[in-house]
Amino acid sequence: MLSIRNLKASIEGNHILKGINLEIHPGEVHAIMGPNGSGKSTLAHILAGKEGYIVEDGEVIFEGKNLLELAPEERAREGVFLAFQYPIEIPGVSNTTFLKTALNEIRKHRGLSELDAMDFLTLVRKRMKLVDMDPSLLGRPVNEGFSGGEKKRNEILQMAVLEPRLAILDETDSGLDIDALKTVANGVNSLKNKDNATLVVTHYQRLLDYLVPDYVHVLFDGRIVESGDKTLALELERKGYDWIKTKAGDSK
Amino acid sequence: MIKTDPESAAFCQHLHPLFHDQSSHIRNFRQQSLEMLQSSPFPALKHEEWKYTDLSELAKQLPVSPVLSDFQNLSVNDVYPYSFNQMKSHVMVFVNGHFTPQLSNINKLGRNIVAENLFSAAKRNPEDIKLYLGKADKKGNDYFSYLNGAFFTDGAYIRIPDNYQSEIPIHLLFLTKGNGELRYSAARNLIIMGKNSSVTLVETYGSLDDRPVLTNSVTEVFNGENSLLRHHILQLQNERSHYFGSTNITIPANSRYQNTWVSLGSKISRNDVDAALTGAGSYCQLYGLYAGRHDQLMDNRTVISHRSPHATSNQVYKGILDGFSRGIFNGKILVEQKAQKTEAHQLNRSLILSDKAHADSKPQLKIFADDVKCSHGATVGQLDKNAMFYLQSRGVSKEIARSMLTFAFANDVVDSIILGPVRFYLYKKLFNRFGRDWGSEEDFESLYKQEE
Amino acid sequence: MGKDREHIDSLTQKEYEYGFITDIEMDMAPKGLNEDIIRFISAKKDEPDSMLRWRLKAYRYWLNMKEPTWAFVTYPPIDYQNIYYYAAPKKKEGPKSLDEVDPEILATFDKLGIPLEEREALAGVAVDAVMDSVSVATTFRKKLQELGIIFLPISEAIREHPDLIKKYLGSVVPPTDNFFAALNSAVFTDGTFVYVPKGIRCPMELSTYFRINAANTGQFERTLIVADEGSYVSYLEGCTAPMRDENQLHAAVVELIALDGAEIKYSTVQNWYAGDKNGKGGIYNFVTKRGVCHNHSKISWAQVETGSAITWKYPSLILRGDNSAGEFHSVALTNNRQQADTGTKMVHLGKNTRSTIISKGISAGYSNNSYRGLVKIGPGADNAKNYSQCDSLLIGDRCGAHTFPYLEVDNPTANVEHEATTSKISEDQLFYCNQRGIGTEEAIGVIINGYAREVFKRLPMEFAVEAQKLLTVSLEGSVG
Repeated sequence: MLSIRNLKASIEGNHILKGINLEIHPGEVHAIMGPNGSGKSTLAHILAGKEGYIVEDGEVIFEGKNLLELAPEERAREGVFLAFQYPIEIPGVSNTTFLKTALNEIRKHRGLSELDAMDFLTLVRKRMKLVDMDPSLLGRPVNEGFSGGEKKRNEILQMAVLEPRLAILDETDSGLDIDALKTVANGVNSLKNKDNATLVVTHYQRLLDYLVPDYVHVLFDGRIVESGDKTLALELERKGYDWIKTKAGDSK
Repeated sequence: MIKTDPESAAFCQHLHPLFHDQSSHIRNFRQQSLEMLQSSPFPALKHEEWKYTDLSELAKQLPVSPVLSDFQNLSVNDVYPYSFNQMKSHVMVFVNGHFTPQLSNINKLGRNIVAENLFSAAKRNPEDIKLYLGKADKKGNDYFSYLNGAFFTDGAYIRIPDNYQSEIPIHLLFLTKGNGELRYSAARNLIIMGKNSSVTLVETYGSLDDRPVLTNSVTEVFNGENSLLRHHILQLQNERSHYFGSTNITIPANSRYQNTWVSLGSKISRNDVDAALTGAGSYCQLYGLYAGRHDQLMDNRTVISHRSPHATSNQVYKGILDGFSRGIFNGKILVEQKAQKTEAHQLNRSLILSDKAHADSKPQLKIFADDVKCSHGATVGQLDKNAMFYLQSRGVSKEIARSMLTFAFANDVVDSIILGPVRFYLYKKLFNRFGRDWGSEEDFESLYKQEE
Repeated sequence: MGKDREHIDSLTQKEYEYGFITDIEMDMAPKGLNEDIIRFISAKKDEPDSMLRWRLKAYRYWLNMKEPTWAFVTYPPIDYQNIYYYAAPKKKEGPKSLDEVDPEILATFDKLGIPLEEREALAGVAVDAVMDSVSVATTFRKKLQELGIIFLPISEAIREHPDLIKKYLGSVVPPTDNFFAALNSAVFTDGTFVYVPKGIRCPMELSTYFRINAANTGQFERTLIVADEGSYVSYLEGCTAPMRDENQLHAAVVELIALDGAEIKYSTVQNWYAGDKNGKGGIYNFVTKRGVCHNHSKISWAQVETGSAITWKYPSLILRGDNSAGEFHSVALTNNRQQADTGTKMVHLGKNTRSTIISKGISAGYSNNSYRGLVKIGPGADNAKNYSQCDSLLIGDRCGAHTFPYLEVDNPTANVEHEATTSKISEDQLFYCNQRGIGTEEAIGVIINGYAREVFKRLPMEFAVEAQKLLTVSLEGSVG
């Protein structure tokens, strides 16, 4: 489904990604872990198509298409979804309008009919239960005045409505208390099926207790230096990132 | 420059009847205004209050002639577009500055309310005319106010009795009908509010055709103690016309005045608001939206004078500038020495959508009292890049994302209008202006109604 | 010299029959302004012919200009014919070292707390002291010379570096720029010239202390600072003035040029005599200060203004080069009958240009303090950013605080933000201080200094300390 080959990228002259290789197949959950500044969020941003990064080498193939050539909205319509670490506030645009517009754009792309307001609201209300979100948030402007937890739930709600093929969760656990974390993880779990995949980017192992990965990769200094199953996450939790740093240093 | 000598030029010929009006108060007022006009220079860029508004092209088309009548055969259908989907209201219609009873509907107003044209009022209530005409506050009276004072052709006179409260708005609808050449249309309105009264007033300026008219209106408002006036002004004239409008307000103790002024029309428009807070506990709210496209120029000047302690004012003006348009905000908060405990806030935000659009902002504070909380802010910029990316990352195209965000930018000003049908009308107007690619209009309507 | 003299004499005789006799030995030119006075000044300064022509051109232009009236200040009309435009100190020969400086002058410096020799030794500051229009002492020149840095009285620079002068003088503030700049261009008597060569980082703060001494003497300084590519210089300007009864005109011009990759910091503490409590006397400070930034360069203005009866001053920047940056940090305090109309202009022309404006006004007594600023984003200034914050603090209810910002944006990618607040020192704050044993005046000092800290941070250390003292001293007696 997603194939990243030797991806090298920089921002403002700083080399952040120094050759990433990663294969994700349908039905899989991958976790990318790493210390701050290792390039985790950069990878997530580049997959979603955020401006400002320069891809210097390598390629990203998503469902047979060269992802890097697509505009951000085209990637989204193809089924790439990024749950933002810091969801953006958009004053004046209501959640409903925002989500309905997005959904219909994606449906159009998939050759489906557009939903009218009634059908749309029925769908959203159903999905809101999944993430235990207060229905009153629907009429409010996107993320404006939302608490940290509400913003993260809103991200998962969008995911639930838009039904992506590949969901990238960028530090979705940061700033969440344990109950909110469980809710968010449950939401993601219930959306999982054999046709979609999830890429979890996180600093902490905590989220992975609830959102169990098939593969764990450790990103350090712009490279994946270690891959394994979920036990790798536990090992990281126990030994800390210094262990990886030493290991990476040795291998140089 | 307009030739204003009553003995000469085009004006005299057409306006002669005006100066023979039977009300001596109106005649005197015209004479005074004319004298002031003759000593006032025509606005030019070198004048600080006209720094960004170039009227030299307009000046070439002057003098212009007022139109005395040619609207007898208009029907209610002609004004339907401005009825806000037949919103329940008391309507007074003026065409080219003349009261048009056959299009108006003021029969159902309460008994004590007076709503009539100014000339009739001058006959029936000469004392009021003497007391109020030209007496509302105006800082730095300028050319167009005097021009109106000398040559207005009628206007609305509204007197709200003490303790009157009504949910049904009063709608003053000023329409123009051209004949090819630039024409002059000037209405002068007097709004007098009784104690503890509360009403909503809509003032709409629109065109019945696409011919150019120079509209020059002045509305004087006298709030009563502890009264509330919600005043919505919509300037929707065709883009060949010009608009110079003033609203002058006196706000006494414990009264509230809330104005929302939306400009979408005219080639050049200039809105002047002069509000004086004269009593403790008074409140003034000025919201404005100017959305320019093509070569439109929209100039907004506001002055709020705090003359009394314990008064509050709040201003939010937003500009959206597309094409070659130019938007200007020139706002002043003046706090006099005795106006302690003043709270005054002013915000101007402009959004520039095209390479050739301009935004100028002059938010000013002039403060002579020390125990005050005053602030102003101004921003000029483009759409938030992060919000654009967020929308795009959810599958929304760049164009739609842009129109959604533009629309969102204007939301809070439109939402300050309390009349649903007017709000909806404006949303549709804005939607058509900035949301061309954003789904269908029906879709918008159904979504909008869900949110209501 | 003799040749120039001849030339000037011939000029005066030719064009003017009844000018006063040019006496180059005179210490003071008579009152008033005419072309002969300008010739006298130019001759006194031993200037090249081209300079005299430049001055005369400015003068002739000035004759047709009108004094600006748009500022929010009022003062009686200035009689430009009742001013001395040239006064030299008593000494006929310029001192070659500090030993030769008039002990009285040195004593004055002592009173101001800026003993030259201490500064030399302790602070590493080179001082070019301007006393009544003529430089009398220049230090550290040698050390600077080793680096190729030119730090000279401008009159010497005009003689010794005519090429640099020709290239840069008037290039930022043309003689025709405004009424006071034209006047200055015609009659300036001295000032400072700094040139920092390519890639050189000036190792010390350069400093000039101005001081007005002789009664009825206008001060018309001219400062020109050129930072060549990749260089850095920090310049301090400080002013004090003794008590005077008659108003004195001060119309300086400062021009800064930061070439590609250069950085200039210009700091001012202005404490000219402000007049007495009733507004009698005091300096009229009508200054034109402007800098030009080329690619990747940066200029910062930092100023603490507490003096002068009237201040009319807008240190400005033209961000011409791509990626250039400008800053303006200002504290302006007015008390008694003082009037200040001050601010800045940031004109963005280059791409990715950035500017920041932080202005803190403090009004007390019967004073009026206005911020007037322009932020202009030209059509070619893609991605320009400006942030302005203009705060006013009022002490007492007889003073005024005003804010007049102008924002003119002609580019859709610009980001311009202006914020302003007006407030007073709260009684709660004062009570809290009082309750802890701090007297009201002292408490106000503490609060004011906190309010202005953001600007003080931008000043060199020793200047910041001095500025803080100044604020407190300037507010003495403002609280009843």
